[in-house]
Amino acid sequence: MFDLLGDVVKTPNETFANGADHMAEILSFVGTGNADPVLREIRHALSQLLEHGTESTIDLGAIPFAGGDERILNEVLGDGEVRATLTTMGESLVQETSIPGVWRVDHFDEKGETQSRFIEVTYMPEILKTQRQDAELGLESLTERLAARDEKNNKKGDS
Amino acid sequence: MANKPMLPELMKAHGVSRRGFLKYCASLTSLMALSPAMMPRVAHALENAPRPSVIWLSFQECTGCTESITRSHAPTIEDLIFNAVSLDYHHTLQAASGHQAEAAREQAMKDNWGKYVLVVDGSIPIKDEGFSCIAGISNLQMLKDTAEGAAAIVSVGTCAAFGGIPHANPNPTGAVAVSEIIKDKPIINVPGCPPIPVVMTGVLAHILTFGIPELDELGRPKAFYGETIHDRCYRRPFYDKGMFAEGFDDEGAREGWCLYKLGCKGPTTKSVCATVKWNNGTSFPIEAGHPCLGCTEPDFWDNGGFYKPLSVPAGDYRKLGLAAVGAGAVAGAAGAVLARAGKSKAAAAHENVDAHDLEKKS
Amino acid sequence: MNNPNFDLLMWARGPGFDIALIIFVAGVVLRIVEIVILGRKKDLAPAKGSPVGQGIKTIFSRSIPRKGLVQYAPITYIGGYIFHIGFFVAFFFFGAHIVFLDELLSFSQWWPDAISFQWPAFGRVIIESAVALSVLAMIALMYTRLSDPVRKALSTFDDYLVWVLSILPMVTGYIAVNKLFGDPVFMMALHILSVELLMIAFPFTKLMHAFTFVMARYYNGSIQGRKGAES
Repeated sequence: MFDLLGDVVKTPNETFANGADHMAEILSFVGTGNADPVLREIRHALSQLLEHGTESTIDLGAIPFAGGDERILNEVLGDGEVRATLTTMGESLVQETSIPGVWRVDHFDEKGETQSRFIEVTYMPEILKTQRQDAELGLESLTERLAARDEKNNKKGDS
Repeated sequence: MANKPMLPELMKAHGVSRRGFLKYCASLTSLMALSPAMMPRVAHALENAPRPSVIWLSFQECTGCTESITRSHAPTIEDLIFNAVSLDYHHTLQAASGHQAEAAREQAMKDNWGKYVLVVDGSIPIKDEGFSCIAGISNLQMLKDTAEGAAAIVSVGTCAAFGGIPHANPNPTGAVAVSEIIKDKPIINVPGCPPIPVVMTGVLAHILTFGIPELDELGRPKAFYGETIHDRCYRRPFYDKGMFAEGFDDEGAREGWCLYKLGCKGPTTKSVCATVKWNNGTSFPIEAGHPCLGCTEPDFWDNGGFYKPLSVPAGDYRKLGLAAVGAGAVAGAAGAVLARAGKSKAAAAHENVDAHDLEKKS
Repeated sequence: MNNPNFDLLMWARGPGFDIALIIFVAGVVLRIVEIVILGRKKDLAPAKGSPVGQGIKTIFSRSIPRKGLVQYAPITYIGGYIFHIGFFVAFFFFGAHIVFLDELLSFSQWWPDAISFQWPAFGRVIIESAVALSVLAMIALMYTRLSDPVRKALSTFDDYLVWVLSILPMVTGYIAVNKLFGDPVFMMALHILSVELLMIAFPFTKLMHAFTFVMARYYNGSIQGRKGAES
C-alpha cells in the first residue's frame, strides 16, 4: 500500500531517518555567538603552551554551545593528521585539528550519546598515553600468555 | 552489602582500564560543572572514597524524578553513579517489596548509621498522615526515622525541595517539603520538575567526591542554581532588541524570538537548563518554543499562570477596575453637585473671597 | 518552603496591584468628573473670536514654550522635556510594559475576537538611555528647585513627594533589569511596588496634571479665544 502512494507517503522508518537528518541540518545553523570567543581562547591557550608549556582544557559543555557554533569551530579548526578512537565504555574520539597542538576529545557512551566534549591544547592528550597501572596489568597478562605458550611448546616437544 | 569495593576496583572487575576510568572522571567533572583542571582531584577522590550507602525514599510524588535519573539501560554516567553508590533501598526500582524491603532498609541504616545518604523525592502530607503510606508506615514517620542516622539528605525534585504540585493552592493534603520536617541535618535541595538528570547525578557525584556542595539561600547547589535562565538564554539578544513572539505560531515564534510575552519565567528562575540542557544537551523548553515554567522555584504552580508574563498583574483586577470607574464617577458627580450647591449658597449669602481663602486646602 | 522574594513579587502582582488600581482609577475618575460637572460660569457676552477652536489649538500649542522662556529658565524647560519624553519612552516602549498595557486595556475578555493592540518595542539600549537621561534631568530639576530661594519657598510636600515617587520606578526598574545588585526577584518586586505607590498617590497630588493638562489648556485657550486675544 505504501508503494502505491509512492513518494507522497514515506514509510515511518524513512520519515524518521530523514527527520533526524533534517533536524541536525537545521540545528547546525543555530548558533549562540560563543564560537568566536572560544576560538580566541584557544589561540591564547596555544600561545601559552608554546611560551610556558602550560596545557589547557576547555569544556564545551560548560557554556551555551549549539550546533551552529560547532559548525564554525569545525570550519576554522578543521581535521589534522592524527585521529584516534578509544574503545572503552563506549567510544571516545581523540583527534588533532589542522592546528597542531589543538586536539578535540569527545566522549560517547555505549549508546552513542555524547557524554562530554573537550578542546585540549597540549602536545599529547593525557588519555592517549598508556597509564602506568594498565601497563603493570599488561606485564602480568603478557607474562601469563608467554607462560601458556611455553607450556604448549614444551608439551609439543615432549610428544 | 557488607563488602563494598571502591570504584576503581569495581571498574577493573568490569574490565574497564584506567584509561576508561580517566574518561569517566573527565565526563564526571564536566557533569559536576567543575573546571577541567579539577579532574585530577575528582579522580583522586573517587579512588580513595568508600562507596556510600544511599537510601532513596519516594513519598507523595509522580515518580518523574526517578524516571528522569534512570533513563537508559546501557552503562551511562547515571548508571555508573549508581554503581559507585550502594543503592540499598529504592521502592520503585528494587525487586523486593513489603516487609522484606523495609527490613532491608532498616538493616542498611543500622550497618551505616551516621554515614548513609538519604535521597528523598516527593512531598510529605501532614494534614492526615494516612494520605501517603509505604508498607503501613506513614511518610512523615518514615522520614523522621530514616533521617536520624543520615549523614546528609538530598531532596530531589521540587516536591521534596519545596512542596511542589501537592503544595499548590489549596494544598488539600497539607503537603510540605523535607526541610520543613527535618531541621537538624544538612539538606541539599535539587529542585526541578523533574530536575535535569545530569544535575541530579552531578550533585550525588559531588557528595561522593567532595562532600556537600556550596548552597544558596534556598539550599540549592550554587553550581547548578546560581544563574537565571534569562542570563544564559540564547534568545536573550531578542529580548534586548525588543523582538518578542506574540503567539505560538506567529512570525516571531517561528524566527525564534524571545518568549517573554508568552509568559516565560526565565528572568526569575535559577537553573542550568539553558547551558546543560536536556537529553544529553539536545534542547530545553525555550529552544523548543515553549516559555519557561520556572519549575525550580518554590510555588511555581501558583505564580499567576504559566502564560501570564511577569509584568502582568496576576489577580482579577479587571472587575475591580470597572467597579472603581463606576464608583469614581458617582463620587465625582456627588462631589461636584455638593460643591455647586455650596457655591450658589455662598453667592446668595454674598460671601467674599480673599487671598487666604485661595491658599486653603479644602 | 517559600522564596520570600517571590512571595513579595506575587503580592505586588496580586493584591498590591488590585489596591493600587482601585485607588488610582476611582481617584482619577472622581476628580475629572468633578471638574467637568463643576463647569465654568456662563459668559453671556457675545464671543469676539472662536472659543472652541482656539481652545483645542491651545492644547497643542502650549507644548512649545513661549519665546524667551527657554533662555530664561533653560534647566526647567529642557530638563522638563527630557524627563517627560524619557519617562514616556521607557514606559510605553519597553517590551514587558507593552504586554502589561495590552493585558490591562484590551477588551478580549468580553469580545474574544477583539484585536489586542501591541506596538513595536524599542531595544534595551534606547530604553536604558532614556531612563538614564530622565533620571539625570530629574536630579537637575531638583537642584534648581533647591538652589533658587523663590522656588524653594514655593515648594510644598507634594512637590518633593511626587519627585521621589517618579524617580523610584525608573531607578528600581533599571536596577532590576540589569541586575546591578540585590536579589533580582526582590528588586523586581520593589519596582512593581514603587509603581503601585505612584498609582496610589496619583489622584491626591499634582500628578493629576497628566489628565487635567488637557482641560486646563482648553479652558485657557477658549477664554482667550472668546475675548479674541492670543493664547
